[in-house]
Amino acid sequence: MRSSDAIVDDVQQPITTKQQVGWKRTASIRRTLLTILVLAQSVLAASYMTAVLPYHGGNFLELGIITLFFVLFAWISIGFWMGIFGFVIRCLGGDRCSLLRRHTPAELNEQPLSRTAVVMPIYHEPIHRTFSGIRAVYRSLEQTGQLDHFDFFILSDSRNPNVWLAEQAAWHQLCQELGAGEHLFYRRRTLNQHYKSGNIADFLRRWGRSYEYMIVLDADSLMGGSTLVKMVQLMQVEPLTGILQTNPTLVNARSMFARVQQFSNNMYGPIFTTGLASLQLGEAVYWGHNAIIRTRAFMQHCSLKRLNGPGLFHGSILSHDFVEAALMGRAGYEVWLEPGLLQTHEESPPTLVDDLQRDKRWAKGSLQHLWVMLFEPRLRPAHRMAFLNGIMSYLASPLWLIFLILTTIEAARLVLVPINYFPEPHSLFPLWPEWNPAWAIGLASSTLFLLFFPKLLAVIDVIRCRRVTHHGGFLRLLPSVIGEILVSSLLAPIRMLAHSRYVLESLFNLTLHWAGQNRTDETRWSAAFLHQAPGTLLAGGWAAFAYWLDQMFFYWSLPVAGPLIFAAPTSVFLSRVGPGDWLKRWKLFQVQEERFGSPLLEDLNNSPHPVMSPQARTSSPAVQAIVDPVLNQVHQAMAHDHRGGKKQKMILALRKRCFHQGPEKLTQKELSHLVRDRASLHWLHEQAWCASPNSYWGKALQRHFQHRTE
Amino acid sequence: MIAQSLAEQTLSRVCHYLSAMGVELTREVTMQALKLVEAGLASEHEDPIHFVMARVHEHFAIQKPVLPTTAPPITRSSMGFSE
Repeated sequence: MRSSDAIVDDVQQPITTKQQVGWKRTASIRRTLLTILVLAQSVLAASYMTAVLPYHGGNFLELGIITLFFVLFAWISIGFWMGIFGFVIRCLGGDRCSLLRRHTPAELNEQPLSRTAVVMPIYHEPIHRTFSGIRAVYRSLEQTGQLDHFDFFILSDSRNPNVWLAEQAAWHQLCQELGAGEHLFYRRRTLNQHYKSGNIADFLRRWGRSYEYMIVLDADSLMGGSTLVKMVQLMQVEPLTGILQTNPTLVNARSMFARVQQFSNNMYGPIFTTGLASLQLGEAVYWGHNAIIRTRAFMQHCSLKRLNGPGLFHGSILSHDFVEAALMGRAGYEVWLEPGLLQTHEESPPTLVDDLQRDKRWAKGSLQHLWVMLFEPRLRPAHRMAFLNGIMSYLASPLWLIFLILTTIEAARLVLVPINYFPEPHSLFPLWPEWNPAWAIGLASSTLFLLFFPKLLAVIDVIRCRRVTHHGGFLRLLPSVIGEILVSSLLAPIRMLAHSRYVLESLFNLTLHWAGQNRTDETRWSAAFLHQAPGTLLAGGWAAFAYWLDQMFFYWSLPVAGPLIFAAPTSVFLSRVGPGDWLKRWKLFQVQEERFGSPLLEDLNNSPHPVMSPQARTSSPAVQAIVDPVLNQVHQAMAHDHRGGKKQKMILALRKRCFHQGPEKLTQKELSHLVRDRASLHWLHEQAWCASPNSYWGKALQRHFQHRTE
Repeated sequence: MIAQSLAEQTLSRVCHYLSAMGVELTREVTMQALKLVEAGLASEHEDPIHFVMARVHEHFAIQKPVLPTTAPPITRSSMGFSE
């Protein structure tokens, strides 16, 4: 269904080509192989579990344990085989089906470039980092000599006037510095409908028709100019491709937590992403950033409908990217993940608390996809599977939790309840419960093997590709890998419990608050204890019960209970920048960009920016907007004219209050009304400059220019 | 810190403004500013700062800053949803 006012040129419907048939056949073979391997392995593991359990699945409790174990074993088997596929393909020299392998560099370089918009939707992001990132990408693109084909758009959804005034000032400063007046634009939405996807859609409705492609960046994205150019060239030679997703690597980490995430991403990312791409091929997903999109196809087919189901499944789609990829696929276009495209980066959240906060949003968004997966017509099966994969990323946690609860009940029953030798009524033969700890250890070992063997393959891959020096040499690589495994083992139970809570909250539309959100760079002890208290208490209680019940069961519980009991110190320690910097000096958890440097990162981190200027530290953005003659004109140019009426009266009253008491005395909403009004900005500017030296504005001017002359 | 006289404050205000607008504070410009301040101080009916700032654009060649284009011309279209 298209909107009635649609004036977008009809996109020529994609047709099936030989190349498309080729990758589709390969995809079918690989996916069938994966399914057979995963199912066979999981059935075998489940039958082994049946043999391990005392009553061999002879009651509902054990049947529940076996079923859950089957599902969870299948889930980790998928990851295991994905790693194996990736490793094998990398050993064979890369995937022959990938887009990059289809074309020679010379062929790509011959392609004329089409108009491309680089868009960055932002919402209350750290301004210095955001604009420094754009600056680095812009300068990198400038060096390719292809800048004229690209325009940059900062698409702000920020609500706080002091934030968006600072964004506007930063945009102006950046335009001046880069001489980018004709290529770098800023637009702020006053109505934030449909979150990020609404922000992009608003851009497309206004300017989408002017651009063949759109490259979407996140506020923490960083991409090399040559990568942007190559992405456009690939889209030019592959007209069936609707979305081309790159695999961003993590960079710029400082805290312990971020450094470990960064190392893990750089170390294991190549084999897992190659494996994932080899299975998805032209039916990959979109991750919402660091990707290029065929604008007209996207505009014609990828508008998001509101969900019309109950509870969670009602309203705006929170995680838009997977859905947009599925809609693009339904329209006949291909969606590719291309791990071969380098110089594409993002940043890790600095702390565990921030990471879990992000997971909270993603968990809700992913669970919403269940509705799309089940009820959206004509989606490709591969995209329905991608939705299931995303859902399982979060649903696996409560399933593990239920599995642990059931095994605890099973252990307690064995100890506390008298053994029932005749569970079947009227049976002449007793059923002897059997417990074979050696088999249980074997089963646990096979689970650990599935989790850790791909990591070993990643290390072999690093050695094979001579990337050991990227990670500080073998003597530093080894402790880094062991450290990463240790940290990920400590974090796994904490994540399991947090994700279980998020799933529960999402499914029942609840919000369970038990601690304030940490927004500082490092986690404070008080915040960590408050945040982790429920998990710590639960795990402490569980471990104590296990100890009382049976010593052996207590030892089994420790790998899960231990990390939860020590979650608060873990969270605090990992958030620290000091130990992170220390590790960096010792070249532990090192990545390629740290070893060899990166012009992009150097540009990013050495960026001077007005928000760090002395005025910015002493005057609020609202005060600067009024006193600084140039900034005042910048803000006026972006403001609106009001035409009288009730609103005008209100604005006149606000002007006077602002003049007499300063912008700090206005509410956020009042200030927003005022500084969006061009005439008010002009009037306040004039009045401020004529104000007596002892008045609010006289002093504000003095402060502002005192620092300017320092 | 020595308190500034009204004349100093007025001169400081006009010089800051000129400087912020990109006017180079040469000897001639400063002398012109001093003359304007003098006129402001001589004015009996108006506050000197108000007097000076109200006339600053008449007395100096202040260029309007060249502002970057906020956004290119809108080429409106729509988003579609094909089933």
